[in-house]
Amino acid sequence: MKTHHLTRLPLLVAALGLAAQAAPLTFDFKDPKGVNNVQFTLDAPLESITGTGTGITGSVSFDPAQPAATKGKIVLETKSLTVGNPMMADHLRGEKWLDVAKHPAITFEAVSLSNVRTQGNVVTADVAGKLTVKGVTKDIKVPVSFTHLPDKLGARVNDPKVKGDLLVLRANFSINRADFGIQPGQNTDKVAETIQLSLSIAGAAPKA
Amino acid sequence: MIRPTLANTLRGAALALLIGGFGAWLATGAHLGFTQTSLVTMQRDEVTGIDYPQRRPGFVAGIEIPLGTAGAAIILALLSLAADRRPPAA
Repeated sequence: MKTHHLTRLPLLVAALGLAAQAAPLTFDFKDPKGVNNVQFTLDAPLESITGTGTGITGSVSFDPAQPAATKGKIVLETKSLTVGNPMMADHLRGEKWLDVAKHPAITFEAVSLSNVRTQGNVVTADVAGKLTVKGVTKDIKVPVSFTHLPDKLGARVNDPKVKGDLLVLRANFSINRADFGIQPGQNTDKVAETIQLSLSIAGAAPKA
Repeated sequence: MIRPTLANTLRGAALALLIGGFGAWLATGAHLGFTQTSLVTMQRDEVTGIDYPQRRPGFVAGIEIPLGTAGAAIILALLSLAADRRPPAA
C-alpha cells in the first residue's frame, strides 16, 4: 500500500507542476526603463503632428496555454503626452483638447479576445475592450500582438538572478477624436479628426 | 557712405532681421513645419525588441520664423520710407 503511494508521488508532483505552468501570469506594465511608449499622429495641412507618451502602467493576465482568456487594463498618464512644439504641447494638454488636469488618464480595459492565432511565442488577436479618453468610454476592437518571452526578465533588468517572464504588446489602430468629445467637428481644417496610435509596451511577471 | 539717419537705421534693422530669420531657418534644416524645441531619436530595446522614442532638448526653426521675421522686416522697411518723407526740421 505504501509503495502505491510512493509511485503516485511523482505523478502528483508532475500534475502540480503542470498546474503551476498553466496558471495565468500577471504582467505588470510599470516600466522603470522608460521603453514603453505610445506614438500618435494626426494629419495637418503644414505637417503631420506626431507625438509620444511614456507614462504607461497597468497589468495583464496572460496564459500562454489559453491566450483567449487574456484580461487586463492599460493606463496612460495624459500629462506624459507631448509633441516637439511647446505651444502645441500646451494646447494638447489644455482644457479644449485633452484637459489633463481633469482627465489625468487614458485607459483601455480588455474584455474579450477573438480571432486568436498562435505562431511560436507570438499570439495575435482582436482585443475588444473599453477605451476611456477624456471621460468618455467607447467599446473598440484593436488588433494586438502578444509576444511571450519566458525567462527574459533577468536580461531586461541586467540581473540574471531575477527570474521571470516578459510579455510584449504591440498594437496599431486609429480612433476618432470626435467620438471622445475632443473638439468634435472643430478645427478639422487644421487637425484631422482621425488619430493614428501605435503602442509598444512590455510587462514583467517575476517568479518567486 | 551711408548716413546714420533714422531711415537708414530702420533699413539696416530690417535687413538684419531678414538675414537672421532666414539664416536660422536654413541653418537648422529648412524645416517646413512648426518650430520644435525637442527632438526625437528612435532607439531599440534589445531584450524586448521595442522601438522607443528618446526625446532630447534641441531647436529646429519652423517656417513661422522666416515668415515672421520677413513680416517684421517689411514693417521696418515701410517705416523707413515714412521716415524719409518726414519734412526736415526747420
